[in-house]
Amino acid sequence: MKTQIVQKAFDHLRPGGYFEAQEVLCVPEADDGTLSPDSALVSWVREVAAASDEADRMLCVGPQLRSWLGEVGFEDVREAVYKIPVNGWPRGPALKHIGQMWQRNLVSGLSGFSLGLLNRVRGRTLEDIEVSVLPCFILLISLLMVLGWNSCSWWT
Amino acid sequence: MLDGRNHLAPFSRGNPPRRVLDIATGTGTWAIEMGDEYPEAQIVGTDLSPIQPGYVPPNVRFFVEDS
Repeated sequence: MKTQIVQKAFDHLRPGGYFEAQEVLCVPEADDGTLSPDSALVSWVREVAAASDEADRMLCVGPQLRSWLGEVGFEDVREAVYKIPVNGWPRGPALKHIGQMWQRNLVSGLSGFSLGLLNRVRGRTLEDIEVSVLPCFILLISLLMVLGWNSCSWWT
Repeated sequence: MLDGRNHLAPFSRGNPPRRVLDIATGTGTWAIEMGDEYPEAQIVGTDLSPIQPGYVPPNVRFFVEDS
């Protein structure tokens, strides 16, 4: 990502140009402490992220993006952090709606996100992947959990 | 999450961007919204998948590219 995108963006932008990115800081958290670090969902995220690193298609670029932008030469790097719900726990209608959309997105996409990386890079069988994704569904649809992702936006 | 804004970079109708590149544009939704918001700008969206609509604002174009 750094050389493939950030460096190229810097090289090809004229002075005065802007680069903006939004990334989720991959690992979900629960504000009420109900998501343990060895839960199925967190383990799934870590495994998919690690496979993406191995495939040189890094998914979790969020934590490094700010320093990469500075390293390649961008000036005046700004960062904004937003907490995004991933299920419908918020009471406010706008955030509840966003959480429900994310939940729908994740529940319908978990298999799809996993198959390529966990099969081609990690060598797991399709059946094995589908089975391991099931407890993640259960965690996601549970309204008892105050789940969220941190999303960062950087612009420079 | 951004209160309906498409971007945080300091552009506006009075200070529009001239050229915008959307890398990994997907269905092109953001690029199309930018094209409508800034009709004087040239918006280009790239993605590995050709899943963008055929009818888009005249200042928006899509290309298949692997980023």
